[in-house]
Amino acid sequence: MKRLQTKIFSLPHGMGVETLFKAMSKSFVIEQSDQEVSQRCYYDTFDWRLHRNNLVFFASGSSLHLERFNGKQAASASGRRRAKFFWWDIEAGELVDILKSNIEMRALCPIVEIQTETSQFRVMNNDRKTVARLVVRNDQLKESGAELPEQVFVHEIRGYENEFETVVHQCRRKGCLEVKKKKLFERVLKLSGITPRDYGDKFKVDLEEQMSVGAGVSKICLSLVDDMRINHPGVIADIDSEFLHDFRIAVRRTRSLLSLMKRILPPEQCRYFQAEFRWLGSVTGPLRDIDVYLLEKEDYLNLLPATLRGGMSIFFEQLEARRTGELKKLRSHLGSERYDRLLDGWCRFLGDPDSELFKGPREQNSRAYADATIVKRFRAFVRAGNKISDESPDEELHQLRIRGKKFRYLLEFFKSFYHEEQMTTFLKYMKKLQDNLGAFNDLSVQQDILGTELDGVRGKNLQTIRFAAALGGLIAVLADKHQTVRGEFEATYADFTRPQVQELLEAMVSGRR
Amino acid sequence: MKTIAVYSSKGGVGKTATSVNLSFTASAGGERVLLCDMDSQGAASFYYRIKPKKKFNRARLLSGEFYEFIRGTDFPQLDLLPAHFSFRNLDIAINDEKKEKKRQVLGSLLAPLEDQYDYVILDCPPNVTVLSENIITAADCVVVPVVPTTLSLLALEQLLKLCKKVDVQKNKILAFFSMVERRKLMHNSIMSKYRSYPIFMQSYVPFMAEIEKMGMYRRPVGSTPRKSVAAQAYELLWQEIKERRLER
Repeated sequence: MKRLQTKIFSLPHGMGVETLFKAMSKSFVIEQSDQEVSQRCYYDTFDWRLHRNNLVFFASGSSLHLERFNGKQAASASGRRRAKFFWWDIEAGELVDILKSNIEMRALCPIVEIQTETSQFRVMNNDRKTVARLVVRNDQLKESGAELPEQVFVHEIRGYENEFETVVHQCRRKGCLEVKKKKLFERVLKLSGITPRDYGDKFKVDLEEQMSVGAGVSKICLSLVDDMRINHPGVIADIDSEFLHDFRIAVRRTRSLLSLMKRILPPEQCRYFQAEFRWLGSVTGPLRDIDVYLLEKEDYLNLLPATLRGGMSIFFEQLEARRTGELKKLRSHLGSERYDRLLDGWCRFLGDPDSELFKGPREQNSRAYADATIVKRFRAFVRAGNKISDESPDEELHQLRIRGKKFRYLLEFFKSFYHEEQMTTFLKYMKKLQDNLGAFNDLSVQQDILGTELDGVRGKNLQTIRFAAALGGLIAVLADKHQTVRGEFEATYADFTRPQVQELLEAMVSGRR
Repeated sequence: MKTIAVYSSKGGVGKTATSVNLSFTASAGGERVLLCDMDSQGAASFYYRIKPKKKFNRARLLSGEFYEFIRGTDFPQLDLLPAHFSFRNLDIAINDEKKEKKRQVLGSLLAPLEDQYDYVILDCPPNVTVLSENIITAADCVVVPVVPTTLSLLALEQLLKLCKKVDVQKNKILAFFSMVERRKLMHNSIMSKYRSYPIFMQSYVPFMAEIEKMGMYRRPVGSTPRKSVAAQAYELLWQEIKERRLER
């Protein structure tokens, strides 16, 4: 059977729906059948994780909905709007399953709220038989009161094609413009001036080949300052753990750049900013360390046999309590004069045309500088890696990890100079090795921390004994994993230092394909 | 898709009221329903304010080209195939078909609608013809309104005989008492005698002015915002039909 049609019209500016109905009343009787007002609040994570996966989440009345971009419902659950949602705040079911894999530890925060008024009308013939349906829809932003253009939906009723065509014809004659069905969320975002996915893309700064080193550094570091500033309110409001994580990445990148380029940067300022960003790194560290444990709570518990899991609960309870204290300290650091002075001074150094940054050796060409530095740093990395044997102390692997990370940041700073595909392939090779070194480092740090915790255990009560047993159990499991990861280093490193990988880097830097 | 025929060879027992209200109740419960008005008087079509299109007639129906003549009612998920005056000779036309096909005509006409509807409800004319044979052959369930009177019971007996003749299992038949007037002694005594028979459903529909007035208001009793006694009676009836014959 034929699919029933729906046509959507937007009313000409200044024309009310009554004018349209008046024109139709020559052929039909129009009668309102229903009217409803509803609210809808849209949510996404700060880095638009749902939007990136073509999903839309909203709360309306007493239910929560997840839709795909094509408008089809993916899942729903009962629940009312709130200031933020983590997936674990929603009742278990399909909705949680989809959300969990898409947003992970991030919070869903309100983006925009609308109020929708829909009025339904019946278009009737002389027998008062409904021959078409009209729905007039008005969407309004709750905050600003701005309205989307009023729309009239004309729905066909089976067997009344001629009447449907007559109604459509009258809409057109009255100057209504037929519009395509566009996703409501898209229209609402446009009206509210919100750009989706304005945060959360991979680090990329567009540099021009003719730029001086100073101009390049300025552009890269100002973009990192943006990252710090954009995440700052989320850290203070403690919305979710990833604001601080992203804030720290921006700090770490800045520190890497200062360290990588210290020979070419004005020494006095470089030393000052290195020291201040080290401070910023150190004051943001303790809270992040606790967050890492709390995020991996389930994984930790799963490492232990069921009999020992209960003993760890006290550890996590203590962590939660410590977290509150650390958050308070962090808020005070990030609200301090020292912090403001650092960012203000840094921005002046990066932005003031008379800054030392744009003088002397920093006037040289950034592309040539990047080419030379990348090759030099890569060779140094390989030299350090080649020295590592099975007998090397763990510390050497940690040093190699830090070198590797800095080198990756260096590539990312100057990414825009190079062929995208070559860069992506090289970074992929690099990631495998870094994952191995990263896992090795994490396992060392975790063992150290748990060991310190164990050293501090005092008392003979049952709870303490259970806690100590759980810690011992965890340390044993981690030590075992640590050995396995270390064992995998040699092969992973050999894979990375293959001639093809080296050739790829050289080709990329020299602009060969 | 399940086919439900509302049938009795006796007139005036409430077939159309039953078809109209059952189809509304089913669609209001979220099912996709097609009501076929097989009675040339077109009472079901009248209740739903639907007139057939000019080009529609018996020949179109029998040729299978009738889908474009199905019309939407005022209610979501509920469509209607209107009756046409030419349906009065539907049985004669079916009789002209080859012998082996004769009883399957209606069934094969409805088969292509399988994916479109959950239920097809047939409002049947009051007679015993080859069309009646078609109807009881095609239906998954034959719902028979019985006014608690002797003549109405006779019509039920006649139907059971017809089932035997066309080799249709009797358990397709589900009867219920219709237009029941509790103040009448005969109604009460017939009901108490027959209600326990397995062929009869426990639900019944009382005689009510509201049902009679459907002709004035031209809409099913359940379509008003407030649920009336009559609407509740049809809802109970629909639930029982589903439980006893359709959900097995």
